[in-house]
Amino acid sequence: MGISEKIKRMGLSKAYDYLDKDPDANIPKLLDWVDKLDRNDSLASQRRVFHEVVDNPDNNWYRLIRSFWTDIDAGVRKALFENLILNATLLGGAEQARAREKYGCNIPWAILMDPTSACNLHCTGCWAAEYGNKLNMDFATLDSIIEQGKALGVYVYIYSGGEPLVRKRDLIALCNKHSDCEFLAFTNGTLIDEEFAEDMLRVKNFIPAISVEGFEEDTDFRRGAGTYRAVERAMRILKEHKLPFGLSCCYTSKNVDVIGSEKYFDQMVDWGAKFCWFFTYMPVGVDAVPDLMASAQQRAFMYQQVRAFRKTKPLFTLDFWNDGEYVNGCIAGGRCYLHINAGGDIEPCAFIHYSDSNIHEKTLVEAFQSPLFMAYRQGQPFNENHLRPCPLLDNPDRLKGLVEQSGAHSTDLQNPEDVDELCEKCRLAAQNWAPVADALWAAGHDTSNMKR
Amino acid sequence: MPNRTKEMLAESLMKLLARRTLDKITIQDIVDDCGYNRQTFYYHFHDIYDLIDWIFAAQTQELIEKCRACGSLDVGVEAVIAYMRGNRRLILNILRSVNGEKLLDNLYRSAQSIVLSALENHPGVQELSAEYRELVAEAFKYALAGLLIDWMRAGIPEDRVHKIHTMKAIYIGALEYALDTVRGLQALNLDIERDL
Repeated sequence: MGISEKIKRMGLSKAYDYLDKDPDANIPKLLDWVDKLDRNDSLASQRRVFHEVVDNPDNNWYRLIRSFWTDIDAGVRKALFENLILNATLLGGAEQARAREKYGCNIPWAILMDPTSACNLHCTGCWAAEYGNKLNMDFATLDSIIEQGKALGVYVYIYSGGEPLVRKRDLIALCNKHSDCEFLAFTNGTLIDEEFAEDMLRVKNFIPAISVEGFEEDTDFRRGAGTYRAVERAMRILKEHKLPFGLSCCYTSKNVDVIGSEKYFDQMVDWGAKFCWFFTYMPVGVDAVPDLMASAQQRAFMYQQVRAFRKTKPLFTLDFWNDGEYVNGCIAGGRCYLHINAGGDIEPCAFIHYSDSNIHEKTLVEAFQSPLFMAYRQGQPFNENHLRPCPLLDNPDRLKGLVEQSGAHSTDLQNPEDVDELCEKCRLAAQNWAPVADALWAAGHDTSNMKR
Repeated sequence: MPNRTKEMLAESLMKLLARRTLDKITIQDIVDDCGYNRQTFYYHFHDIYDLIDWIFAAQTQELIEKCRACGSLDVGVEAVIAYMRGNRRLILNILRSVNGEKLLDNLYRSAQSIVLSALENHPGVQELSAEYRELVAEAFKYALAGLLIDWMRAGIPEDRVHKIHTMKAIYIGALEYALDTVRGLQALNLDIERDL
């Protein structure tokens, strides 16, 4: 971090203390600070949105922001602000840009990694369930990834798996060591207990995203009987400790009506979730269940519902396959993020199990400069219609090209999967989605300058 | 059980500090000494300074209990002097490392709480308001911590022990006078911020 960044950091940190004293009066003032700091207008569109929010206290987004002062521990809230907003985005963003220039490759905003392939549940269609319970990245490896990442300006680390909380003591140790980073974990929630909540309060920089598939019936159908109740218990513990958490929902052909319903959105707000990340079911792995894939109509339904509720519900939602328009399409391959599996394979995406690099053999930068990630960099965006961002689900020929061009191999820890066969599973879905997505895109955008 | 782990880590660090400066000690050295792994260290502590702070807080707490029990500042300061003489190398190996001066901030903070705890059961203090007790504690924090810090910076030489004891005796004597003074101020019902 250079001198001017340090000064900015200090200034913003002070601004936060000031804001913290009287959020209602001072949230708008904080935004003025960000306006001033963002001299080159790199956050212009975000700032415009924030202004709309802040100028109306009844706005659902304002209610969400305000809830951080009523529902969340003060120290945790401060760490979230410093790590996620200052370190990862405002200051880290500039460091990432410098590294991108210096190394001529993608540099991400966040790194997704699997501490372990072990899981205490066995959910239908989950790739982690198919991995077998064998592989782990040890503390030193995880620590080294974070050290390397920080040198590139990366301050957000997200765990998946496997069930990351199988390794909860190591995760707390990493939070404690890297107190300038924000850590998130996709978790089934069943291992969250009082002791872990106390640890989270102590380190302040760990946020769980708990997987739920709707209400009791759908969750237990996919995750096993009793899981729903265990998840509700976890959320209760987190709420009692004033810890922030979010949800992760995978919508499938079977549960999409529930996941996209107002009743379910209200339930998520009721539970106390601050955010929800939506995933569409991906038929990854030779044992995947293609019948669970959402149809084009179902995906369009989620597109409409998520956008409608963004205007009314105090919940921050992301729908990774339908929100490409906000992030210029595919974010994988190190553009915004990447995935490192429990075996150390450095993959472009949590859902793309092909790689030409392993963390035990290459540095992060070497992996980003290797053919697969460079092919992603050259190929992105994979479609001019950002509602069709995915090189697998929406543009299956593109993934084939990427894998063949780079000579990447299948990293499936159980049964290697041929890229042709994987892409074939998505061909029909891609064909069906194309006209729907094009119509949605045309309705929502001026298509005359689509090239831009 | 987790606290026992912290104690083991603390003991190892103190053992190493008796031999070399803090700069020359790594987390690996500490965990090697007590047979833990690095993640166990980081589960409990952010870094080596976090562990130092913890040790310092634990020892301060011990002194506070001691002073509170006997209601004598003299006993508390004597204990600090004895500790410094007995752990000279350890203290200097912290003080003479890159961030060693950071320790001195802690020392001031601890000094205030030690004085306060000694005052709690000191004869004639019960009638004083918390505000006045804290004022006295703060005044003696500067005197006592200043005396000991100077001694530390000079390398805790033995030939200064007599002088340290004499000065300490001056302060302890002055404590009674100080308490009389604030009792008088309290009786006049003065507003500390406005009138002093």
